[in-house]
Amino acid sequence: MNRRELERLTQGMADCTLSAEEISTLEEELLTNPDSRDFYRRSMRVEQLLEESLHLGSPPASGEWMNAYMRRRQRKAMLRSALAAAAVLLVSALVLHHIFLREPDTTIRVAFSPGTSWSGSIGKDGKIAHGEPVRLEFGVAELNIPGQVRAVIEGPAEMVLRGPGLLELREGSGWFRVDESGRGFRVLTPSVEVVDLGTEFGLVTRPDELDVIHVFDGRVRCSARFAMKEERELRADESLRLSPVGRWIEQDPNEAMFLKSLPPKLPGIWFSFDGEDPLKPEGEYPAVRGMEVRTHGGGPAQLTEGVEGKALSLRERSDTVRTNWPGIGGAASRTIACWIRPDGRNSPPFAGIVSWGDPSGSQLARCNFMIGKSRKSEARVLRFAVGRSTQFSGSTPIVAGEWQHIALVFRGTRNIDGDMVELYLNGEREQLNPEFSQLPKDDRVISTVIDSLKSQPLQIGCGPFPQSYGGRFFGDIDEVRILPRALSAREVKGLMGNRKAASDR
Amino acid sequence: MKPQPDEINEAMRDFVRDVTEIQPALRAFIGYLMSGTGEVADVTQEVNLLLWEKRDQFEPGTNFRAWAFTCARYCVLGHLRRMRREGRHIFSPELVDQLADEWQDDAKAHEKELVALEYCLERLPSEDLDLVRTRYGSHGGVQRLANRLGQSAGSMRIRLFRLRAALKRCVEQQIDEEGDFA
Repeated sequence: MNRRELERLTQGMADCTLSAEEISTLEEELLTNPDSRDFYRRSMRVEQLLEESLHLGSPPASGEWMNAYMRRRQRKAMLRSALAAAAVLLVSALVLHHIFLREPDTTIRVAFSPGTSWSGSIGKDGKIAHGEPVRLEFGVAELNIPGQVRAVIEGPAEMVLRGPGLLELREGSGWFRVDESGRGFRVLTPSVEVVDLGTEFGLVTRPDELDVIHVFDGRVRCSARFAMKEERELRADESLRLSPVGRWIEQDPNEAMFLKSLPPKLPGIWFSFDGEDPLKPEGEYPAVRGMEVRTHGGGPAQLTEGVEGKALSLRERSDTVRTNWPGIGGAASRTIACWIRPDGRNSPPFAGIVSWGDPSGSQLARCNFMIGKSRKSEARVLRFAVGRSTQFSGSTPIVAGEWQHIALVFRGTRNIDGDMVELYLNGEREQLNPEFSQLPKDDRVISTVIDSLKSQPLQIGCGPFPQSYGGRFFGDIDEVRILPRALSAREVKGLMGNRKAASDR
Repeated sequence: MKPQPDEINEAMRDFVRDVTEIQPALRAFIGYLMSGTGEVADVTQEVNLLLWEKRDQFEPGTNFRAWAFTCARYCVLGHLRRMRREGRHIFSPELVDQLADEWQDDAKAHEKELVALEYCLERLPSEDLDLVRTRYGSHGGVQRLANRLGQSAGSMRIRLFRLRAALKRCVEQQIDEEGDFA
């Protein structure tokens, strides 16, 4: 049997996908060929390592086998001395926990920023019910155990209050401030346990990423919950990220990535191109702090009179703007809106207005809001390219030389009205033009890749390409807004404010 | 002389600690012998139960690990025989016995293997790491990932096949290189 076939059968065995005939073929090979048995053994060893490292929850945590045993014995009503000893220990631990850690009121109260979308069991008094998950689709929640813990959680997130001083954070980005009386507060994610030792810290846990923790004040103890289960103690200004096998790797702390209070408005990024530093982003969004923004040429932004104050003027390649923010990844919903005044003389077939993501051939998982020229009618219309090869095009021609408000609402997986994408021109929803679009053929999720080697950060005035080659926009852009949620038609109109498009004045 | 309660408690604690310590290796051993059955987790728990019930038969001071693996081996063979009687298509007890003979259990090697795996996983492009994590992280995850990226599950599986083979080569190479310098 050749090595490739042996590899195929070995992997199939690990996956439980082999037919009876294939199992017999593999068995015969293994019985007669010691080299194949050696290969099989080494392969299965790596399979087990991968299972142990990556299948969170599968490897038994310390003592978990004992708990399983205990449960079994309880069911069989065969409680013996070992269980009694363990029960005594457990009861003692609970008593000590209550005596030393529990304060009279350990209920968590929750408040949300305006516009937050959440679900879960929360009382009228704002108290979270024990054991009931609370999910944030988008927006921000502030959790409060009076006098002990204050936390600000940014969605998408899911959390469950497991008991006094124990919060399970299944997904989300959270900042925690724990006072002296709350010391010992624990946060449990699917892959780590963080025990506060009197401190301020931030924790990010996402389904497709490895957890990271930042300590800004005091100390915490963090333990990986799988594979090598490394435990570390962190002090102020230290940060760790988890490795795929449960070890901790040091990295630079980044305080700017966490919200520390409820924002008065829903988080978002806003480029007004006004003020002393016209490229400085504003808005209630962690990425705003520390975001580096520059023109491709490295010189000052070229400005012109805008819809409100100044606007970004794009005439040369060097005028386009590049940031260091990777953008909104995956299938997360988002809204992009701005005012544009396209140049009538210079109109390339595709002109990127706001873009990010991976434009490479293998992924083509980009997010590119642009103007596209229809080959059939030569008219320039709104166009949104997302994911691998999907494009949504509008129908109404864009007018050169006039200010127009444009918006894109991407719903990701949440397909409320049967539409994944909505395009708006001057506050009115655009009819999609199927001839000039490549619409999804089914309900597959379409995503943006923001962490590949070829992924480009947020850029304004060009497509998601390095050096702004290709897909440049010629004209003026003002009041760029990027929001991590899908706005309603009314909200999109609200972004226009009291200003109307030139054509309506 | 009868052992005192303190001695009994200490022996029990030692036993619990020993069983806990060998869990990853025990699971790897059972996973190796029972690959393709989908019953690895259940049998691992069964073996833990067996070890606990037979704890009086373990002679303190002798090799606990070897004793536990011998118990595990017979427990696995018992399960496989039952499954074959039920008409399940799995390896014969003869082959499993031979595979068990050739298993090399080395407690010290385990940490080195994990470090080697970490090295290899850290060098994967993020989309490949996503795919590998999806395969081992959740049931049906590859199909969901394929949907999310707009690719066919078939092409994902081909990529995964290559990735797993490459990871295996990488881990072995790392361990060999470390051995050269040890």
